[in-house]
Amino acid sequence: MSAIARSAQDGATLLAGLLLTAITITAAVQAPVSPTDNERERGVSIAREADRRDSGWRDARVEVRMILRNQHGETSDRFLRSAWLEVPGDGDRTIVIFDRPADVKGSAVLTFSHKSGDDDRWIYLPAVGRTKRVASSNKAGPFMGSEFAFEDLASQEPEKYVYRHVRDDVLEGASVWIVERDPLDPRSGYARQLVWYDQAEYRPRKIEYFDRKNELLKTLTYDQYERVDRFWRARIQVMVNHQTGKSTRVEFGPYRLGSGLTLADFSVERLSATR
Amino acid sequence: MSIRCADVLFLWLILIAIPTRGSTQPTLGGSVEVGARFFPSEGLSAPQGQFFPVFQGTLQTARGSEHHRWRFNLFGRADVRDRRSSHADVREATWAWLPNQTWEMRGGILAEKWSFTESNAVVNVVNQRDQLEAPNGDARLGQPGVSLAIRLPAGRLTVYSLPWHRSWRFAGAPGRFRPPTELDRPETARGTAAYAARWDVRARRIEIGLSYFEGVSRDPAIETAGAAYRVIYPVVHHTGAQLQLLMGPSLLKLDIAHVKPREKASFIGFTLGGEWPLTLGAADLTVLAEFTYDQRGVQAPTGLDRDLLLAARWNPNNAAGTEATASTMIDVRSGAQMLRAKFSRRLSATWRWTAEAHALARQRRGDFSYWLRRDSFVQVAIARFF
Repeated sequence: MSAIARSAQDGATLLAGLLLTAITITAAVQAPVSPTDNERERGVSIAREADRRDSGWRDARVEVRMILRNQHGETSDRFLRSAWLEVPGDGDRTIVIFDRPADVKGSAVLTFSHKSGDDDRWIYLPAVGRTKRVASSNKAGPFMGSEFAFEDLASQEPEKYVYRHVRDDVLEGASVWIVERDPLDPRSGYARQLVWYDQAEYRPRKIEYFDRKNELLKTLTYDQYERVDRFWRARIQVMVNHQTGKSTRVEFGPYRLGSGLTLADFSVERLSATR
Repeated sequence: MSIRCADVLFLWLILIAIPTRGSTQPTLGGSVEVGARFFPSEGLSAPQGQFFPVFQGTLQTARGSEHHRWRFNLFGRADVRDRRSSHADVREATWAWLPNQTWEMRGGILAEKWSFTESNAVVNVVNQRDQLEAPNGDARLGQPGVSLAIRLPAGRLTVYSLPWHRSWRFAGAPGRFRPPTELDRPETARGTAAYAARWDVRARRIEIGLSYFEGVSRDPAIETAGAAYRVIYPVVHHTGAQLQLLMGPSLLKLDIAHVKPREKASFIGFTLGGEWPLTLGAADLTVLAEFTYDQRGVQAPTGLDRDLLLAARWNPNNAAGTEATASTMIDVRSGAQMLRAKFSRRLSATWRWTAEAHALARQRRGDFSYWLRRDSFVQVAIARFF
């Protein structure tokens, strides 16, 4: 066998091997499989450790700009302010106040996340002058016309998912774990999600969202991480919808952690007074 | 806006201008809306017009510090055809003092909406209806007063002192949504004070409110006196209860009130219903159904005595913030109907346009709203928000 022929055969073997590996990885990544106990335990432990490392900031405030881009490349802006409060033994409480577009200026949404069951949500609309309970149905619905669904923005409590460690990988030069998480809520818009956690700091670097037909729907990437006190916060998040070609870029201002917000600041009674 | 309201407004503006430690910069927002409203039918009386330019606006400002909150909401409409329909009203101008997490005191011009239901508000007794904005059943006049709230181990108790009363006001001769003959001037003194208290509590799936009001009723008793109408605002003891239950994704609601006018027989009224959200892909479709009962029957000044609301609200959750609602209110006794449709869409970050149509059908003589039978209209408007 000539050197060229041997080289070609080696190449074919290598190619077949690579192809087989790729198929195996693709199958592992794309098809929901019954996780082994080991995969489940590793997945849960990574998610819990990520959650533990991101606990203890008490409360947080940040100003946010969302840039919505449609399939034609046209953009529109949303400006809002967010505040969070950690609640021991329960999910976070969140207030989002809208500044722009101008017709929703002053509207505020208060969410009580829970470790199990539906989140509670109220909305204050200044035009109506009333705080209204929101019946929580459309978790998969877009937030303000963006590519973020309400459930993407809700507090990501580990208790809301079933986890599975898929494999170790490298992402942009950093060692990562790929963990699959399947929402327990039957009304979630997703069959499953794949989260890339960096091994150094347990930060999510990328999330792929698969729709109910198990087809890739969206990819969220985290960028420009910076340390605020001992916590990591991404200044940029970009969500790309692969099925529509639309995308949303979120730019976060400086985070203020532990500024002394209390449960009363996150109460339904005071939502109308929040500005 | 009355002179007294103007005085309160002036004092309030002084208060908001005083710098306080740790306070945030005041936020400012509002809108200016222009458009046209057309009534296909001639009015019941000759001077009533059919075409009305729409020119209205809102102004909101708010400011807060650790222990203080200021809020100010102004609404105004200019009507070039009917001077009496041109009006401005301070919907709310309050200063709130929150010394700690237990107490909260507010004073100024209050806006209180206690009802959970949408089609009627038998429990909203603090603020008077703005009859000049009659198609918008939610429009309420600002109410001068003070309130003191205390957080209890279970819920919150708020007491109110409401030092004077505001009456219904109708459009002038060229305007619409008014009775065919002039209502006489109410005899009630404006300085008549009222007192109210409300306890409310909420848990994950339930919200409850219990309220009591004593003073001059916001809803008048309207009696026919020959060809004219006589307007009487009786002193009432008004006891209300509000209940909202979250059942799965659905909301069930009940507002109920027992009213005892002085020297008259008592009556009850309630609105019972719910809303059911449906998901259609990315869009939300909310279906509402509510039934209103008023023991006064056709004497009910809202015109709602045995009426069923069926409504659908569609929100595609798109970037343009499109909203569409359609509803019908059916008087199950007489068959009279009020149909409404509204569509609204954002044109840019600051502009939004709205189209709406209100149609009245099968109004019967004897119904309180019989005088509105020719007031079906269509309206198109564009609003600039800032």
